[in-house]
Amino acid sequence: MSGYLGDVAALARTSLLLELRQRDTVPAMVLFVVSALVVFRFSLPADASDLASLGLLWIAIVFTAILALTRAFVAERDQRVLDGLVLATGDRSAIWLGKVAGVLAFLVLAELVALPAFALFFAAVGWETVAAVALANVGIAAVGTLLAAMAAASRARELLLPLLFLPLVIPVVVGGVGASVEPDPGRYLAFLGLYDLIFAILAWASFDYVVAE
Amino acid sequence: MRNNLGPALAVGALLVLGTGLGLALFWAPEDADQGVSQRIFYVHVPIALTAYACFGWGAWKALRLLWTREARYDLESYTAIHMGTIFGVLVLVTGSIWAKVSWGIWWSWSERQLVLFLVLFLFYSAYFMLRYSTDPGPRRANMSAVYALFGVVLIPVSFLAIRLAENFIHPVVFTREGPQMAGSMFFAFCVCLAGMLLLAAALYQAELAGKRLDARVRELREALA
Amino acid sequence: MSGGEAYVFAAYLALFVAVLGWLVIHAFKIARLSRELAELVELARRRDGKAPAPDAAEARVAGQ
Repeated sequence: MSGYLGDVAALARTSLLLELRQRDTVPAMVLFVVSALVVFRFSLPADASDLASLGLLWIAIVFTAILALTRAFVAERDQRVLDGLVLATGDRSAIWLGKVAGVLAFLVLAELVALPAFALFFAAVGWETVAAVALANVGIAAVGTLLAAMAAASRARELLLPLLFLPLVIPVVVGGVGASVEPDPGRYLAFLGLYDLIFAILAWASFDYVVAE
Repeated sequence: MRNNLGPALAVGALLVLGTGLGLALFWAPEDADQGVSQRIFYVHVPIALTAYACFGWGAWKALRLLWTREARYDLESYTAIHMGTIFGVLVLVTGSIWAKVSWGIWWSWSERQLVLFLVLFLFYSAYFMLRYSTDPGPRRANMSAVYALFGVVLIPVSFLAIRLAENFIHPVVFTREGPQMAGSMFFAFCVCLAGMLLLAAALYQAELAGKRLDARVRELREALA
Repeated sequence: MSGGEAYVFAAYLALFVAVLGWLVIHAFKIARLSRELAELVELARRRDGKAPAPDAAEARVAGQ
Protein backbone atom coordinates (compact mmCIF):
# COMPACT_ATOMS: atom_id res chain seq x y z
CA MET A 1 0.00 0.00 0.00
CA SER A 2 2.83 2.40 0.81
CA GLY A 3 4.34 1.43 -2.52
CA TYR A 4 1.07 2.38 -4.21
CA LEU A 5 0.93 5.70 -2.38
CA GLY A 6 4.56 6.27 -3.30
CA ASP A 7 3.72 5.70 -6.96
CA VAL A 8 0.81 8.11 -6.73
CA ALA A 9 2.92 10.81 -5.10
CA ALA A 10 5.68 10.40 -7.67
CA LEU A 11 3.25 10.43 -10.60
CA ALA A 12 1.35 13.43 -9.29
CA ARG A 13 4.63 15.28 -8.94
CA THR A 14 5.74 14.29 -12.45
CA SER A 15 2.40 15.30 -13.90
CA LEU A 16 2.41 18.68 -12.19
CA LEU A 17 6.03 19.36 -13.14
CA LEU A 18 5.36 18.46 -16.76
CA GLU A 19 2.42 20.83 -16.85
CA LEU A 20 4.26 23.61 -15.07
CA ARG A 21 7.11 23.26 -17.53
CA GLN A 22 4.64 24.11 -20.25
CA ARG A 23 3.98 27.30 -18.30
CA ASP A 24 1.02 28.29 -20.41
CA THR A 25 -1.82 26.25 -18.90
CA VAL A 26 -2.45 28.18 -15.69
CA PRO A 27 -2.22 31.66 -17.22
CA ALA A 28 -4.46 30.49 -20.06
CA MET A 29 -7.07 29.16 -17.64
CA VAL A 30 -7.00 32.31 -15.53
CA LEU A 31 -7.29 34.55 -18.57
CA PHE A 32 -10.08 32.38 -19.97
CA VAL A 33 -12.18 32.39 -16.81
CA VAL A 34 -11.83 36.17 -16.34
CA SER A 35 -12.69 36.81 -20.01
CA ALA A 36 -15.68 34.51 -19.69
CA LEU A 37 -16.92 36.44 -16.66
CA VAL A 38 -16.56 39.72 -18.55
CA VAL A 39 -18.49 38.29 -21.51
CA PHE A 40 -21.20 37.07 -19.12
CA ARG A 41 -21.43 40.57 -17.62
CA PHE A 42 -22.40 41.90 -21.05
CA SER A 43 -24.81 39.04 -21.70
CA LEU A 44 -26.90 39.80 -18.61
CA PRO A 45 -29.52 42.54 -18.60
CA ALA A 46 -28.91 45.33 -16.10
CA ASP A 47 -31.70 44.25 -13.77
CA ALA A 48 -30.70 40.57 -13.71
CA SER A 49 -30.57 39.10 -10.24
CA ASP A 50 -27.43 37.91 -8.46
CA LEU A 51 -28.92 34.42 -8.65
CA ALA A 52 -28.64 34.44 -12.43
CA SER A 53 -25.01 35.53 -12.25
CA LEU A 54 -24.24 32.70 -9.79
CA GLY A 55 -25.50 30.30 -12.43
CA LEU A 56 -23.08 31.85 -14.93
CA LEU A 57 -20.21 31.40 -12.46
CA TRP A 58 -20.81 27.65 -12.67
CA ILE A 59 -20.77 27.72 -16.45
CA ALA A 60 -17.43 29.55 -16.31
CA ILE A 61 -16.02 26.93 -13.93
CA VAL A 62 -17.14 23.98 -16.06
CA PHE A 63 -15.73 25.46 -19.27
CA THR A 64 -12.45 26.37 -17.59
CA ALA A 65 -12.25 22.78 -16.39
CA ILE A 66 -12.64 21.57 -19.98
CA LEU A 67 -9.70 23.77 -20.90
CA ALA A 68 -7.57 22.16 -18.18
CA LEU A 69 -8.71 18.65 -19.10
CA THR A 70 -7.88 18.95 -22.80
CA ARG A 71 -4.34 19.81 -21.69
CA ALA A 72 -4.12 16.96 -19.18
CA PHE A 73 -2.85 14.33 -21.63
CA VAL A 74 -1.14 16.57 -24.18
CA ALA A 75 2.37 16.02 -22.85
CA GLU A 76 1.89 12.25 -22.77
CA ARG A 77 0.46 12.15 -26.24
CA ASP A 78 3.16 14.28 -27.80
CA GLN A 79 6.07 12.59 -26.11
CA ARG A 80 4.61 9.11 -25.74
CA VAL A 81 5.17 9.39 -22.00
CA LEU A 82 1.93 7.62 -21.18
CA ASP A 83 3.04 4.39 -22.83
CA GLY A 84 6.18 4.44 -20.70
CA LEU A 85 4.23 5.24 -17.55
CA VAL A 86 1.79 2.43 -18.27
CA LEU A 87 4.64 0.00 -18.74
CA ALA A 88 6.59 1.19 -15.71
CA THR A 89 3.83 1.40 -13.12
CA GLY A 90 2.49 -1.68 -11.44
CA ASP A 91 -0.96 -0.25 -10.87
CA ARG A 92 -2.25 2.04 -13.59
CA SER A 93 -4.84 3.64 -11.36
CA ALA A 94 -1.88 5.43 -9.74
CA ILE A 95 -1.56 7.34 -13.04
CA TRP A 96 -5.19 8.36 -12.75
CA LEU A 97 -4.76 9.57 -9.17
CA GLY A 98 -1.65 11.51 -10.12
CA LYS A 99 -3.44 13.14 -13.04
CA VAL A 100 -6.46 13.98 -10.88
CA ALA A 101 -4.18 15.67 -8.37
CA GLY A 102 -2.63 17.70 -11.19
CA VAL A 103 -5.98 18.76 -12.69
CA LEU A 104 -7.27 19.58 -9.21
CA ALA A 105 -4.29 21.85 -8.57
CA PHE A 106 -4.92 23.77 -11.81
CA LEU A 107 -8.62 24.13 -11.08
CA VAL A 108 -7.90 25.50 -7.61
CA LEU A 109 -5.35 27.96 -9.01
CA ALA A 110 -7.82 29.19 -11.63
CA GLU A 111 -10.61 29.50 -9.05
CA LEU A 112 -8.38 31.45 -6.66
CA VAL A 113 -8.56 34.15 -9.32
CA ALA A 114 -12.07 33.46 -10.60
CA LEU A 115 -13.96 33.67 -7.30
CA PRO A 116 -12.53 37.06 -6.23
CA ALA A 117 -13.05 38.32 -9.79
CA PHE A 118 -16.66 37.16 -9.63
CA ALA A 119 -17.12 38.90 -6.28
CA LEU A 120 -15.66 42.07 -7.78
CA PHE A 121 -17.72 42.06 -10.99
CA PHE A 122 -21.00 40.54 -9.84
CA ALA A 123 -21.92 39.66 -6.28
CA ALA A 124 -20.40 38.48 -3.03
CA VAL A 125 -19.53 34.79 -2.85
CA GLY A 126 -20.86 33.00 0.23
CA TRP A 127 -19.21 30.15 2.11
CA GLU A 128 -21.64 27.70 0.57
CA THR A 129 -20.50 28.57 -2.95
CA VAL A 130 -16.86 28.09 -1.93
CA ALA A 131 -17.69 24.72 -0.33
CA ALA A 132 -19.66 23.67 -3.43
CA VAL A 133 -16.79 24.69 -5.72
CA ALA A 134 -14.35 22.66 -3.62
CA LEU A 135 -16.59 19.58 -3.75
CA ALA A 136 -17.34 20.04 -7.46
CA ASN A 137 -13.61 20.22 -8.25
CA VAL A 138 -13.14 16.68 -6.99
CA GLY A 139 -15.94 15.28 -9.14
CA ILE A 140 -14.90 17.29 -12.21
CA ALA A 141 -11.27 16.19 -11.89
CA ALA A 142 -12.14 12.53 -11.21
CA VAL A 143 -14.58 12.12 -14.11
CA GLY A 144 -12.82 14.55 -16.41
CA THR A 145 -9.43 12.86 -16.18
CA LEU A 146 -10.89 9.50 -17.19
CA LEU A 147 -12.80 11.05 -20.09
CA ALA A 148 -9.74 13.06 -21.14
CA ALA A 149 -7.78 9.80 -21.35
CA MET A 150 -10.54 8.38 -23.60
CA ALA A 151 -10.63 11.49 -25.77
CA ALA A 152 -6.84 11.47 -26.08
CA ALA A 153 -7.02 7.92 -27.47
CA SER A 154 -9.55 8.89 -30.14
CA ARG A 155 -9.02 10.69 -33.42
CA ALA A 156 -11.36 13.53 -32.53
CA ARG A 157 -9.52 14.42 -29.28
CA GLU A 158 -10.32 18.03 -28.30
CA LEU A 159 -13.61 17.83 -30.14
CA LEU A 160 -14.75 14.75 -28.25
CA LEU A 161 -13.97 15.73 -24.67
CA PRO A 162 -16.73 18.33 -24.15
CA LEU A 163 -19.28 15.95 -25.70
CA LEU A 164 -18.33 13.19 -23.28
CA PHE A 165 -17.90 15.53 -20.34
CA LEU A 166 -20.90 17.87 -20.37
CA PRO A 167 -23.73 15.31 -19.93
CA LEU A 168 -21.82 13.80 -17.02
CA VAL A 169 -21.30 17.13 -15.22
CA ILE A 170 -24.95 18.20 -15.39
CA PRO A 171 -25.46 16.77 -11.85
CA VAL A 172 -22.42 18.74 -10.66
CA VAL A 173 -23.86 21.95 -12.06
CA VAL A 174 -27.22 21.19 -10.45
CA GLY A 175 -25.57 20.58 -7.07
CA GLY A 176 -23.32 23.62 -7.37
CA VAL A 177 -25.99 26.07 -8.48
CA GLY A 178 -28.42 24.68 -5.91
CA ALA A 179 -25.90 25.13 -3.11
CA SER A 180 -25.19 28.69 -4.30
CA VAL A 181 -28.75 29.95 -4.70
CA GLU A 182 -30.96 27.91 -2.38
CA PRO A 183 -31.56 28.96 1.24
CA ASP A 184 -30.76 25.44 2.44
CA PRO A 185 -27.45 24.40 0.79
CA GLY A 186 -26.91 21.29 2.94
CA ARG A 187 -28.66 18.77 0.68
CA TYR A 188 -26.95 20.11 -2.44
CA LEU A 189 -23.52 19.88 -0.81
CA ALA A 190 -24.38 16.33 0.31
CA PHE A 191 -25.41 15.53 -3.27
CA LEU A 192 -22.08 16.85 -4.58
CA GLY A 193 -20.27 14.72 -2.01
CA LEU A 194 -22.26 11.66 -3.11
CA TYR A 195 -21.44 12.37 -6.77
CA ASP A 196 -17.72 12.69 -5.93
CA LEU A 197 -17.75 9.42 -4.02
CA ILE A 198 -19.60 7.37 -6.65
CA PHE A 199 -17.78 8.66 -9.71
CA ALA A 200 -14.35 8.78 -8.09
CA ILE A 201 -14.61 5.09 -7.19
CA LEU A 202 -15.95 4.23 -10.65
CA ALA A 203 -13.27 6.23 -12.48
CA TRP A 204 -10.50 4.91 -10.25
CA ALA A 205 -11.59 1.31 -10.84
CA SER A 206 -12.01 1.68 -14.60
CA PHE A 207 -9.00 3.79 -15.59
CA ASP A 208 -6.92 0.64 -15.96
CA TYR A 209 -9.14 -0.52 -18.83
CA VAL A 210 -9.07 2.83 -20.60
CA VAL A 211 -5.29 3.16 -20.89
CA ALA A 212 -4.48 -0.54 -21.36
CA GLU A 213 -3.76 -1.56 -24.94
CA MET B 1 -31.80 -23.42 -30.86
CA ARG B 2 -29.99 -20.10 -30.99
CA ASN B 3 -31.03 -19.52 -34.57
CA ASN B 4 -34.69 -19.80 -33.64
CA LEU B 5 -34.47 -17.15 -30.94
CA GLY B 6 -34.79 -14.15 -33.26
CA PRO B 7 -37.88 -15.31 -35.16
CA ALA B 8 -39.51 -16.51 -31.92
CA LEU B 9 -38.98 -13.12 -30.33
CA ALA B 10 -40.34 -11.35 -33.41
CA VAL B 11 -43.48 -13.50 -33.45
CA GLY B 12 -43.91 -12.98 -29.70
CA ALA B 13 -43.51 -9.22 -30.10
CA LEU B 14 -46.05 -9.15 -32.91
CA LEU B 15 -48.65 -11.08 -30.90
CA VAL B 16 -48.13 -9.50 -27.47
CA LEU B 17 -47.56 -5.92 -28.59
CA GLY B 18 -50.44 -6.16 -31.08
CA THR B 19 -52.74 -7.42 -28.32
CA GLY B 20 -51.44 -4.83 -25.86
CA LEU B 21 -51.95 -1.85 -28.18
CA GLY B 22 -55.41 -3.18 -29.07
CA LEU B 23 -56.32 -3.47 -25.38
CA ALA B 24 -54.91 0.00 -24.69
CA LEU B 25 -56.83 1.66 -27.50
CA PHE B 26 -60.17 -0.15 -27.44
CA TRP B 27 -60.59 -2.10 -24.22
CA ALA B 28 -59.11 -0.07 -21.36
CA PRO B 29 -61.60 2.43 -19.90
CA GLU B 30 -61.16 6.10 -20.65
CA ASP B 31 -59.42 8.05 -17.91
CA ALA B 32 -61.87 10.23 -15.98
CA ASP B 33 -59.48 13.21 -15.68
CA GLN B 34 -57.40 13.23 -18.83
CA GLY B 35 -59.82 11.63 -21.25
CA VAL B 36 -58.52 10.04 -24.41
CA SER B 37 -55.02 11.58 -24.16
CA GLN B 38 -54.23 9.30 -21.23
CA ARG B 39 -53.95 6.47 -23.75
CA ILE B 40 -50.51 7.81 -24.73
CA PHE B 41 -49.42 6.44 -21.36
CA TYR B 42 -49.65 2.88 -22.73
CA VAL B 43 -46.90 3.53 -25.26
CA HIS B 44 -44.87 6.27 -23.55
CA VAL B 45 -44.16 4.53 -20.24
CA PRO B 46 -43.45 1.03 -21.66
CA ILE B 47 -41.07 2.62 -24.19
CA ALA B 48 -39.27 4.45 -21.39
CA LEU B 49 -38.94 1.30 -19.26
CA THR B 50 -37.73 -0.61 -22.32
CA ALA B 51 -35.09 2.05 -22.99
CA TYR B 52 -33.84 1.68 -19.41
CA ALA B 53 -33.78 -2.09 -19.88
CA CYS B 54 -31.70 -1.71 -23.06
CA PHE B 55 -29.20 0.60 -21.37
CA GLY B 56 -29.01 -1.79 -18.42
CA TRP B 57 -28.51 -4.76 -20.75
CA GLY B 58 -25.76 -2.85 -22.58
CA ALA B 59 -24.04 -2.08 -19.28
CA TRP B 60 -24.32 -5.72 -18.21
CA LYS B 61 -22.66 -6.83 -21.45
CA ALA B 62 -20.02 -4.13 -20.90
CA LEU B 63 -19.33 -5.52 -17.44
CA ARG B 64 -19.02 -9.02 -18.92
CA LEU B 65 -16.55 -7.66 -21.47
CA LEU B 66 -14.33 -6.09 -18.81
CA TRP B 67 -14.64 -9.23 -16.71
CA THR B 68 -13.98 -11.93 -19.30
CA ARG B 69 -12.27 -9.87 -22.07
CA GLU B 70 -14.26 -11.79 -24.67
CA ALA B 71 -14.53 -9.61 -27.75
CA ARG B 72 -18.09 -10.64 -28.65
CA TYR B 73 -19.52 -8.71 -25.70
CA ASP B 74 -18.39 -5.44 -27.30
CA LEU B 75 -20.79 -5.83 -30.20
CA GLU B 76 -23.59 -6.99 -27.89
CA SER B 77 -23.15 -4.01 -25.58
CA TYR B 78 -23.03 -1.63 -28.55
CA THR B 79 -26.17 -3.12 -30.08
CA ALA B 80 -28.08 -2.87 -26.79
CA ILE B 81 -27.14 0.79 -26.43
CA HIS B 82 -28.05 1.39 -30.06
CA MET B 83 -31.54 0.00 -29.35
CA GLY B 84 -31.74 1.95 -26.10
CA THR B 85 -31.01 5.17 -27.95
CA ILE B 86 -33.73 4.49 -30.53
CA PHE B 87 -36.24 3.86 -27.74
CA GLY B 88 -34.88 6.92 -25.90
CA VAL B 89 -35.66 9.13 -28.90
CA LEU B 90 -39.16 7.63 -28.98
CA VAL B 91 -39.58 8.52 -25.29
CA LEU B 92 -38.75 12.13 -26.14
CA VAL B 93 -41.17 12.14 -29.09
CA THR B 94 -44.12 10.50 -27.31
CA GLY B 95 -43.49 12.46 -24.11
CA SER B 96 -43.41 15.68 -26.06
CA ILE B 97 -46.71 14.81 -27.74
CA TRP B 98 -48.22 14.05 -24.34
CA ALA B 99 -46.99 17.34 -22.91
CA LYS B 100 -48.56 19.14 -25.88
CA VAL B 101 -51.95 17.50 -25.49
CA SER B 102 -51.99 17.80 -21.68
CA TRP B 103 -50.58 21.28 -21.17
CA GLY B 104 -50.42 22.83 -24.62
CA ILE B 105 -46.61 23.01 -24.73
CA TRP B 106 -44.18 20.73 -26.51
CA TRP B 107 -41.56 20.76 -23.77
CA SER B 108 -41.76 21.08 -20.00
CA TRP B 109 -38.76 21.17 -17.70
CA SER B 110 -41.00 20.01 -14.90
CA GLU B 111 -41.46 16.61 -16.55
CA ARG B 112 -38.69 14.59 -14.92
CA GLN B 113 -38.74 11.65 -17.25
CA LEU B 114 -38.41 13.86 -20.32
CA VAL B 115 -35.53 15.87 -18.87
CA LEU B 116 -33.74 12.70 -17.80
CA PHE B 117 -34.09 11.23 -21.27
CA LEU B 118 -32.74 14.41 -22.81
CA VAL B 119 -29.62 14.08 -20.62
CA LEU B 120 -29.32 10.38 -21.49
CA PHE B 121 -29.80 11.13 -25.18
CA LEU B 122 -26.88 13.57 -25.09
CA PHE B 123 -24.79 11.11 -23.08
CA TYR B 124 -25.37 8.16 -25.40
CA SER B 125 -24.96 10.30 -28.52
CA ALA B 126 -21.45 11.02 -27.21
CA TYR B 127 -21.04 7.22 -26.89
CA PHE B 128 -21.52 6.91 -30.65
CA MET B 129 -19.09 9.78 -31.25
CA LEU B 130 -16.55 7.98 -29.08
CA ARG B 131 -16.96 4.74 -31.02
CA TYR B 132 -16.83 6.34 -34.45
CA SER B 133 -13.73 8.41 -33.72
CA THR B 134 -11.67 5.58 -32.22
CA ASP B 135 -9.93 2.83 -34.15
CA PRO B 136 -11.54 -0.60 -33.67
CA GLY B 137 -9.75 -2.92 -31.31
CA PRO B 138 -9.60 -4.02 -27.69
CA ARG B 139 -8.95 -0.51 -26.44
CA ARG B 140 -12.06 0.88 -28.10
CA ALA B 141 -14.04 -2.04 -26.69
CA ASN B 142 -12.76 -1.28 -23.18
CA MET B 143 -13.41 2.44 -23.44
CA SER B 144 -16.94 1.90 -24.77
CA ALA B 145 -17.61 -0.57 -21.97
CA VAL B 146 -16.40 1.84 -19.29
CA TYR B 147 -18.54 4.61 -20.80
CA ALA B 148 -21.58 2.30 -20.90
CA LEU B 149 -21.08 1.52 -17.21
CA PHE B 150 -20.90 5.24 -16.45
CA GLY B 151 -24.27 5.50 -18.19
CA VAL B 152 -26.17 3.23 -15.84
CA VAL B 153 -24.64 5.01 -12.85
CA LEU B 154 -25.56 8.36 -14.39
CA ILE B 155 -29.25 7.38 -14.68
CA PRO B 156 -30.04 7.39 -10.91
CA VAL B 157 -27.62 10.25 -10.21
CA SER B 158 -29.22 12.41 -12.90
CA PHE B 159 -32.68 11.49 -11.69
CA LEU B 160 -31.74 12.71 -8.22
CA ALA B 161 -30.18 15.85 -9.71
CA ILE B 162 -33.32 16.63 -11.72
CA ARG B 163 -35.47 16.26 -8.61
CA LEU B 164 -33.16 18.62 -6.74
CA ALA B 165 -33.09 21.09 -9.63
CA GLU B 166 -36.88 21.39 -9.65
CA ASN B 167 -36.59 23.60 -6.56
CA PHE B 168 -34.82 26.35 -8.43
CA ILE B 169 -35.35 25.74 -12.14
CA HIS B 170 -39.01 25.12 -12.56
CA PRO B 171 -41.38 24.34 -9.72
CA VAL B 172 -43.67 21.43 -10.50
CA VAL B 173 -47.03 22.79 -11.47
CA PHE B 174 -48.26 19.96 -13.59
CA THR B 175 -48.42 16.44 -12.32
CA ARG B 176 -49.90 13.34 -13.79
CA GLU B 177 -50.45 11.77 -10.40
CA GLY B 178 -54.14 11.25 -10.78
CA PRO B 179 -56.29 8.69 -9.02
CA GLN B 180 -54.98 5.15 -8.97
CA MET B 181 -55.17 3.19 -12.19
CA ALA B 182 -58.09 0.85 -12.61
CA GLY B 183 -57.23 -2.84 -12.71
CA SER B 184 -58.03 -3.15 -16.40
CA MET B 185 -55.79 -0.18 -17.18
CA PHE B 186 -52.94 -1.78 -15.31
CA PHE B 187 -53.47 -5.05 -17.16
CA ALA B 188 -53.36 -3.32 -20.54
CA PHE B 189 -50.22 -1.48 -19.43
CA CYS B 190 -48.51 -4.75 -18.42
CA VAL B 191 -49.31 -6.38 -21.77
CA CYS B 192 -47.96 -3.33 -23.58
CA LEU B 193 -44.80 -3.41 -21.47
CA ALA B 194 -44.22 -7.12 -22.18
CA GLY B 195 -44.84 -6.53 -25.89
CA MET B 196 -42.45 -3.58 -25.98
CA LEU B 197 -39.72 -5.59 -24.25
CA LEU B 198 -40.23 -8.40 -26.77
CA LEU B 199 -40.06 -5.90 -29.63
CA ALA B 200 -36.79 -4.52 -28.26
CA ALA B 201 -35.40 -8.04 -27.86
CA ALA B 202 -36.40 -8.97 -31.43
CA LEU B 203 -34.87 -5.78 -32.84
CA TYR B 204 -31.77 -6.40 -30.74
CA GLN B 205 -31.36 -9.92 -32.15
CA ALA B 206 -31.86 -8.75 -35.73
CA GLU B 207 -29.54 -5.78 -35.34
CA LEU B 208 -26.92 -7.96 -33.65
CA ALA B 209 -27.12 -10.50 -36.49
CA GLY B 210 -26.66 -7.67 -38.98
CA LYS B 211 -23.68 -6.20 -37.13
CA ARG B 212 -22.07 -9.65 -36.78
CA LEU B 213 -22.51 -10.31 -40.49
CA ASP B 214 -20.97 -6.94 -41.22
CA ALA B 215 -17.96 -7.81 -39.06
CA ARG B 216 -17.61 -11.25 -40.69
CA VAL B 217 -17.73 -9.79 -44.19
CA ARG B 218 -15.02 -7.31 -43.21
CA GLU B 219 -12.91 -10.18 -41.83
CA LEU B 220 -13.44 -12.12 -45.04
CA ARG B 221 -12.39 -9.13 -47.10
CA GLU B 222 -9.20 -8.79 -45.05
CA ALA B 223 -8.50 -12.52 -45.33
CA LEU B 224 -8.89 -12.41 -49.12
CA ALA B 225 -7.04 -9.16 -49.69
CA MET C 1 -61.21 12.86 -34.92
CA SER C 2 -60.95 15.17 -31.94
CA GLY C 3 -57.74 17.02 -31.03
CA GLY C 4 -56.93 14.60 -28.26
CA GLU C 5 -57.45 11.59 -30.49
CA ALA C 6 -55.15 13.05 -33.13
CA TYR C 7 -52.33 13.36 -30.58
CA VAL C 8 -52.88 9.82 -29.31
CA PHE C 9 -52.76 8.64 -32.91
CA ALA C 10 -49.52 10.61 -33.43
CA ALA C 11 -47.89 8.96 -30.40
CA TYR C 12 -48.76 5.44 -31.60
CA LEU C 13 -47.71 6.40 -35.10
CA ALA C 14 -44.29 7.48 -33.80
CA LEU C 15 -43.61 3.93 -32.59
CA PHE C 16 -44.71 2.49 -35.92
CA VAL C 17 -42.58 4.93 -37.91
CA ALA C 18 -39.53 4.20 -35.73
CA VAL C 19 -39.81 0.47 -36.37
CA LEU C 20 -40.32 1.09 -40.10
CA GLY C 21 -37.33 3.42 -40.16
CA TRP C 22 -35.21 0.74 -38.55
CA LEU C 23 -36.50 -1.73 -41.16
CA VAL C 24 -35.49 0.58 -44.02
CA ILE C 25 -31.97 0.99 -42.63
CA HIS C 26 -31.71 -2.75 -42.04
CA ALA C 27 -32.89 -3.50 -45.58
CA PHE C 28 -30.19 -1.21 -46.98
CA LYS C 29 -27.61 -2.91 -44.79
CA ILE C 30 -28.61 -6.38 -45.96
CA ALA C 31 -28.54 -5.24 -49.59
CA ARG C 32 -25.05 -3.86 -49.10
CA LEU C 33 -23.87 -7.02 -47.33
CA SER C 34 -25.16 -9.33 -50.02
CA ARG C 35 -23.54 -7.14 -52.68
CA GLU C 36 -20.22 -7.27 -50.83
CA LEU C 37 -20.51 -11.01 -50.33
CA ALA C 38 -21.13 -11.58 -54.03
CA GLU C 39 -18.05 -9.49 -54.75
CA LEU C 40 -16.00 -11.51 -52.28
CA VAL C 41 -17.23 -14.83 -53.69
CA GLU C 42 -16.11 -13.70 -57.11
CA LEU C 43 -12.76 -12.64 -55.69
CA ALA C 44 -12.31 -16.03 -53.97
CA ARG C 45 -13.15 -17.88 -57.19
CA ARG C 46 -10.67 -15.84 -59.18
CA ARG C 47 -8.08 -16.62 -56.51
CA ASP C 48 -8.62 -20.32 -57.01
CA GLY C 49 -7.70 -19.88 -60.64
CA LYS C 50 -11.15 -20.70 -61.89
CA ALA C 51 -12.90 -18.53 -64.39
CA PRO C 52 -15.03 -15.83 -62.79
CA ALA C 53 -18.59 -17.02 -62.71
CA PRO C 54 -20.75 -14.08 -61.69
CA ASP C 55 -23.93 -15.94 -62.59
CA ALA C 56 -23.11 -18.79 -60.25
CA ALA C 57 -22.22 -16.39 -57.45
CA GLU C 58 -25.46 -14.53 -58.01
CA ALA C 59 -27.43 -17.77 -57.95
CA ARG C 60 -25.75 -18.78 -54.73
CA VAL C 61 -26.52 -15.55 -52.99
CA ALA C 62 -30.07 -15.57 -54.28
CA GLY C 63 -30.54 -19.15 -53.15
CA GLN C 64 -29.61 -18.38 -49.56
